[in-house]
Amino acid sequence: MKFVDLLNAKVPSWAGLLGRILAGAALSYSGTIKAAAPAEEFAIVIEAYGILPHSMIPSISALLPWAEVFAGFALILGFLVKPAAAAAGAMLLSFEFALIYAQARGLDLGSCGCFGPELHLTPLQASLLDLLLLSAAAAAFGAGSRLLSLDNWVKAGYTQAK
Amino acid sequence: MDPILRTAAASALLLGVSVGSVLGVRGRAKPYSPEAPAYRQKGPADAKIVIVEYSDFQCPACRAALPGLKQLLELYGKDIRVVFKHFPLERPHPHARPAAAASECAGRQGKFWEFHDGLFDSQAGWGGHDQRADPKPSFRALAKSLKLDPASFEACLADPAPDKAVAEDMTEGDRRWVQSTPTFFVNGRRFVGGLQLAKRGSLWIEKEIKKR
Repeated sequence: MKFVDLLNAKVPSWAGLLGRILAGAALSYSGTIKAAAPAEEFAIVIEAYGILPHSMIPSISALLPWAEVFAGFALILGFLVKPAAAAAGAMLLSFEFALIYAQARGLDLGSCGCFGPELHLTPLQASLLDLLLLSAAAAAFGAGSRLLSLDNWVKAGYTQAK
Repeated sequence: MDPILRTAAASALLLGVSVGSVLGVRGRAKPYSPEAPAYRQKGPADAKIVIVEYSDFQCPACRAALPGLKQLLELYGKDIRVVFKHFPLERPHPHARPAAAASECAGRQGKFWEFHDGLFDSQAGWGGHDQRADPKPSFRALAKSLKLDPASFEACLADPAPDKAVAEDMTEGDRRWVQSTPTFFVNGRRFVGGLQLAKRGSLWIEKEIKKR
């Protein structure tokens, strides 16, 4: 059985909905805070990790927060749940990698910068939160569309059309 | 309802909620003034380039950015005016705001920039590990080394006006979405940190000088 089918089969509907809400709320909050602020502020956070080439940082700092916003609200609304959960998982995995890299290099980041300047999480705290959210995104991917989702409403339109 | 219409409606809802939340948090642009007291400015009044720096005296990144800023001043001298604004990040740097107020007191006696340099040079001392220690003795010692009038300096430290001036800068910085220090506005364009100023700021300065 493929992993995707396994997730679909094993994850209860309520877990899928909870996963959607958790991952969606976290991503939409963190994305909104960062997208609302000037991109240069997020750019300096990305620079501090020392992973990406400098030439890429302006684009990433401008676009990544918006990707978080759209993926987050898509999960909350239950629209395009599987792509949104996959995108959320990819982003969370890359954040996790960056946090592990920072801790391995002993970088003194102070705050991870994940949720803007107001919420101070150390890299370790952010890392643990990321793992929790990754599980939530996986649950959303497996069973997120079943309950209270716009995907169901859109699908109902196809059923009616037949 | 037609499924394509439903898809369009759901897409529009997602777009509306996403964009709306960001714009709601961002709010409308609030007014600000790039001016500061004369003692916190250096360079010609008619300079083509105005660099407004929001800085924190206890911030190591602000200290690290100084050589780069000095290099820009040496390169473009007559074309650059620097305006210093206070933006102490009180949570990680509890001594930064008293340092800013003390620098205002030095400014009143015409030695703001000397005090500014002295604070950054001695940052490891007064801004070091013991955040519970009172930093004022360090400020007094610096004032003495700069031959500031001790009685005036002491009276100023007790006066609420310098701290009020610092608070005004902080409010203005908040309006401009300043979140990190140092943040530079070079003819209105934002660069955060010494690296952004060095790598992209210098290119912007060249462009602005050619334009004017």
